[in-house]
Amino acid sequence: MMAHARVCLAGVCSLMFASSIWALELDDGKLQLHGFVTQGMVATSDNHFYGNSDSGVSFNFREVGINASYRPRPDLQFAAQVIALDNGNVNEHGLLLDYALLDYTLASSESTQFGIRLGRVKHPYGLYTMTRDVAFTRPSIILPQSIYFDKARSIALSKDGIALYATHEGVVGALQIDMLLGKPNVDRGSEATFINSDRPGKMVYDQLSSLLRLMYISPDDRLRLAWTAANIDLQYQARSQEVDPNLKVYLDPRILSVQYSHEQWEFTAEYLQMKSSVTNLAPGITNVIEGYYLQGSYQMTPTLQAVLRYDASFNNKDDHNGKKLAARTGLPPHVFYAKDWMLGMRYDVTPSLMLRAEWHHVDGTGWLSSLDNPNPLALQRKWDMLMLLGSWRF
Amino acid sequence: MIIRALLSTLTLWVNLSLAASNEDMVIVAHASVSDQTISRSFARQLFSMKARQWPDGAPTVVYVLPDHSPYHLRFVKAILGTFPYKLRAAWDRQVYSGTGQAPREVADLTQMVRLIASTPGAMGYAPRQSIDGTSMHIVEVR
Repeated sequence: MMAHARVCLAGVCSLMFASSIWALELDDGKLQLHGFVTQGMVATSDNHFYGNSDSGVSFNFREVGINASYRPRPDLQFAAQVIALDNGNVNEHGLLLDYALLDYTLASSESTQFGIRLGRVKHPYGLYTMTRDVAFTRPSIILPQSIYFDKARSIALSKDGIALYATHEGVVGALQIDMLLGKPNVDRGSEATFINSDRPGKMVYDQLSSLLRLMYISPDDRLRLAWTAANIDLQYQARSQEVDPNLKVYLDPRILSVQYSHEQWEFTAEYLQMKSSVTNLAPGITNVIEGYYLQGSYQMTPTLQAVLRYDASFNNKDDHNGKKLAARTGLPPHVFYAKDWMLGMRYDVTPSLMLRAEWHHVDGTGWLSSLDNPNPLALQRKWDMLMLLGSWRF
Repeated sequence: MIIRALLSTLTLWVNLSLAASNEDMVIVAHASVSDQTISRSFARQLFSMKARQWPDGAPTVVYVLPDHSPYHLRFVKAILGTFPYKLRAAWDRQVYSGTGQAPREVADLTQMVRLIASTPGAMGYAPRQSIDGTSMHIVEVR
């Protein structure tokens, strides 16, 4: 895999420094190919994130993807993307089908668009999930973990099913509605988040899952407000007696998102509440998970951007210091929350090549995966993390 | 060779040396496009690639200059009322989620005008003074 990646990288090096974004278009632009290659580095003062980042520098931070879209008519598009990820021990291995869909516009006028998507469709969950694995579209090297947790990334990622979308532009602004219904996809990281390790069994969906996002965009395109609501019902299919075979997990996240964009700066905040019910594991674990972040970015020069963020995550909104959950479970309180201050820089070398650096100072270990950190008692409450990333896209 | 022959027959004339970035930018469309005036919000929908057809159902072909081009910056701010990075974010969201496509990027104004003139349904932008021809027309934003 590594040798393969190196050969590919050598081949694209000449394209990386082109002054505009190189795109592969066929059939008069009706067929487009795009992709990305990202490599990151992670070093932590304590604890592991994306691999063995504590004992040295972890390079287990790689995201590669390629997609094709074909639009034979203005109202019809076929598209698919394949990705390969390495995010420490958390992600699925090998090639993943990120999305594969048919998009048909049922109605289109000067003020309204209305359409349907069928297949594997990405979740419009909050502001960033749709393209969460594409470094160029993220506001920072990692997304705010309070809402876009990497340790259970798949539960909010995509569905195999049906999606309806509508946009209406009026004098007071635009309203966008997205509705999805289908089978949610679950990966081993998400599975481990609910049963604390990767077991032989498999977490599968219990009932069809649905998602609704309403978004308002002001007439000047500067303010975006969104509300996302979803339900995800999973059950564990044990292959041995390792966990109660009747384990079920019910999640119903609600997210409020706000973003205000200026020419040089952008302010973004999101707030999440997610009721999570885990049945048949311990007596009556029903929590309301809470998370939020405040983020500001400033474009200092056309190619240099700074970003500052405070990101807070609590496993129980009535137990911010984790003491109640600690008393109930015997685990240290800091595994039930995380408060993360982040300062980052982005340098756009060319429109298709980007370098980033960011520093995190974290109090709490709530969003660290048990797959990277098997022993919760060995976790340090306060820790620092330095991340570097390079990304190329076409 | 064919392109050169086409160029010589076109009646348009683009004087790039005079076209400074502070000139009045306008939306330019191929002669086949019947709309003479569109709303700002529809213009933004078209350039952000969310709307893919003209009101009469004809497919749109959108041409843009690179993000860092002064013409692009001026057009996006003055006519669309947004910022290049917002447009780029909208394209990226669609391109990397399978819900849309990217516009076609051209190297300079000469190429932009040439392609608009020769592509039915095409739209792009250019300084107002540089548009002079029968194979394309200005689309005003109301």
